[in-house]
Amino acid sequence: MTTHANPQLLTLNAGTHWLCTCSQSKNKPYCDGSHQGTPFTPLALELEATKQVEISS
Amino acid sequence: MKLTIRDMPTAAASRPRRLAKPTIDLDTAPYAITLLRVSLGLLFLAHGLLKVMVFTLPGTAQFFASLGLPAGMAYVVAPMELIGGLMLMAGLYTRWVALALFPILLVATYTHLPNGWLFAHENGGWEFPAFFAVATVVQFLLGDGAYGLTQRLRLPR
Ligand code: FES
Repeated sequence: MTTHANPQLLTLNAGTHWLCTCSQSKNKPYCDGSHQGTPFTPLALELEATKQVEISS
Repeated sequence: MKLTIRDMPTAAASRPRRLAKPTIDLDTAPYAITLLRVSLGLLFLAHGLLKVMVFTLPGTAQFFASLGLPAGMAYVVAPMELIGGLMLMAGLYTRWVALALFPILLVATYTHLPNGWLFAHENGGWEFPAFFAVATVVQFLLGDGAYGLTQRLRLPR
């Protein structure tokens, strides 16, 4: 599903982050709109403070 | 897809701890520290007042000289005991006050050495000043405890 090493550790600032769920994005793990035409929509991750986020498939 | 969200590692958490778990009861310990601090403060204040009011400073200087200590030390030790005692009672920079008072008690312990160890011996054995000296080191390691003034002086961040 992902071309990145698994799991992926990110430090994300407070705010909303759109994560790709369709696996078409060229900018994984973020959504870049490539999901157009698929039944997938990005996942909104809303953080109230800077957090470390680990993404694994 | 699985997301695991963790708090940022804080400076406090990443700082190496000497002991993995607290070995004291954090609910009651601050009051124990305060009790020690106020007791030590009262003792120092009483001894300082005794030197100034009862023996008077020249008298204390003479007494120091009779023990083979520099007489001028009286003019340093008595104010240190008075101010230090008040600062301990107020909980103001407890650690550093306790550390500053420690050498006074080392000298006191030393001067009581010839009297034997038992505190009830004539002129007082060394066990009491020695224990007193240890207590100041303990206070240095403990800090202010509850109701200390140092914390109120710190600017809110
Ligand atoms: S690009 Fe994959 S969800 Fe938007």
